[in-house]
Amino acid sequence: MLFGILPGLGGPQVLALLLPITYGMDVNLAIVLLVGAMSSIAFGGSIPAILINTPGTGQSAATCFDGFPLAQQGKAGMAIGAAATASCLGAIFGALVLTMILPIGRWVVLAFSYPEYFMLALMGLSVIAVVSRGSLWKGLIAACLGLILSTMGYDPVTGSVRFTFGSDYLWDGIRLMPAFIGLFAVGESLDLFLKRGKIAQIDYGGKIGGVTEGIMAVFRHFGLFLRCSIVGVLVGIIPGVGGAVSNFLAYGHAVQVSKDPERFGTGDIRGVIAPEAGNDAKDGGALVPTLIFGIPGSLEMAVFLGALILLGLEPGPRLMLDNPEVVLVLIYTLVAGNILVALIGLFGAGFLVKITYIPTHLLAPVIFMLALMGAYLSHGMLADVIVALIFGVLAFAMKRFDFSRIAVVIAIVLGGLAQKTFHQTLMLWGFKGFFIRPISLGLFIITVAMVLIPYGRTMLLRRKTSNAA
Amino acid sequence: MPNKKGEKRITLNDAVLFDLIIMSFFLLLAVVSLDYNPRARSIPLALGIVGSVMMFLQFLVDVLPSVRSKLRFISQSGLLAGESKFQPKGLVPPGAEAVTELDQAGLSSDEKEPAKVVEWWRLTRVILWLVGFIVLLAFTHYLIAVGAFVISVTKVEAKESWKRAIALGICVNIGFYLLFEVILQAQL
Repeated sequence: MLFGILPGLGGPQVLALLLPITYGMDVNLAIVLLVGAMSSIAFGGSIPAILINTPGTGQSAATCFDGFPLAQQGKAGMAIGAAATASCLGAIFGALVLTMILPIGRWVVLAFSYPEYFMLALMGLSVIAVVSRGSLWKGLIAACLGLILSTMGYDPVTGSVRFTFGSDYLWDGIRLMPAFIGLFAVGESLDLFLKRGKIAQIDYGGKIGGVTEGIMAVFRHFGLFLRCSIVGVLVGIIPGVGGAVSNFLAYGHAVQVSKDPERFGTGDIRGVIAPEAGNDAKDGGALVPTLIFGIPGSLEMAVFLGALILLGLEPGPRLMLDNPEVVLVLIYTLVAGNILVALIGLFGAGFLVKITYIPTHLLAPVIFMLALMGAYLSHGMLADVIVALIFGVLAFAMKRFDFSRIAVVIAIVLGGLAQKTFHQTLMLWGFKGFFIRPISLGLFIITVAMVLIPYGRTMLLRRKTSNAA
Repeated sequence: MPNKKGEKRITLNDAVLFDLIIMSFFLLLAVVSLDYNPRARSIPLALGIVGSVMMFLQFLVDVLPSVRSKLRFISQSGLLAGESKFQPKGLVPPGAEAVTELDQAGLSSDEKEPAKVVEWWRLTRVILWLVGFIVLLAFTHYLIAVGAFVISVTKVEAKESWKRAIALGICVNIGFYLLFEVILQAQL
């Protein structure tokens, strides 16, 4: 929740920092810790969005539009009450949908072999085309970088040791945890440190009241809440779309169906309920591709996927067969975490938001230490700290030059699976093995479509523009 | 040097340097992969070649802005580039764009260059402090390394008073001691 409140930091950063703490922990406890933290981020980001017009995370941005005007009108408590209730109920809705969909995983497992797993990995990689903000070309370069990094170390299929440059440490390849810590926590802290100043630019006055009115508002607009939750779940299920989109789509839906759309943006409580329901319901939806297919639907899910692998679990069709209890723990934690964070938010929002007034040059050194000590904690190896620092500098440069970090993460996470199953398919069936099995072929067609969509859209836009001219 | 359209013919900046570093990395791995058996080298070699070619084209666009119009596909946006159609102007979610102090300051491109150098120099100093922390971590107890890093960076880089720097260092040390030693009982 604290990371949700701090703009620039969010789910990936908190997951990266918590990963080392889970080392040696019971798997179920580790899941509770990670999912609990992850589920708290979305609502945490809404608190500064409402109080100081600064969304804590991208997925809370639409909450600013009506949340902050409400705070300016002295109704910050009402907005926070509505946001907490809509977030909490939205997350429960998402978890219910997840519970109903997950049993399909049992059927999927029987139909999947190496080519299907390869195509799934390929599909996950194609998500990069969807999630790349700015230049798609740079997104693809970042993906290449992540993929080539994933080839480092010992390869059990070919029996070769690659790119270790004489270092024993690199025999295991690039370790996910220090890489994630570097890419997110260290990279963001470098950025924060260089920017200076304070995260918050506006003083909210410290007055928070009218919470009950906000809670009741959700029930008065329950139809809107339900529709926006469905939007959130659907957006979450589509790999690579994520929270920011569900937030804006839900807000857009609320505006479009409203009889008085002109009220939105001036402090309408529906403008808080809609995006909050959407961005919390999407968590349940986003776990569907992550758990059933092992495809990370978002940056957060990419890091979470890596965390599951580090915990010795195998996300994908086998998860429901091998570790059904883990899935249940995950769902219960998702629900419990959201209820708890809503309560904490309702009672402690005024205090929590003060973190955003700490100067960044004081905050950043503390996050540096948390990050690097986190990398050191898991194996007590300095090499992990060095890797985290190298990835931190890389992340800073990538952010500065508009290269996608999510592409690197997705590629590192899925690169190993893609390589292994690629060689296994070739050995068993040859190249035709990828296309003679219907599910594999279907997944390939979907993947090609996902990659071609951005180009098709541009072509259509160009044609429309030339026609208009 | 500007051309007839007023565009600079050749641009040498930090982005170009980054392109060169990443391209060299791809090339290095592609060359090294030639030592492995055919099956083991197939994927890294392909990735190394594809990556270095893509990075070379990116480098061309960055170093010769006039090439951008000929290589339009390099500027093609991802599917979500237009996601913020409901977003009012002026509000950018954090992380959506890499907005720096330099962008916000409204400096001209000529004024930005020296400011960028200062920024990179500050970054280098912070990285050197972090390297110093790693060296201390290797030879001393982690609490000493953490305390020394927080106090020095807060005093020297953040230009805070000694009193404030030491207070922050002590607070962080107490926090870390409670987290790692008391709660997690980590053997560091």
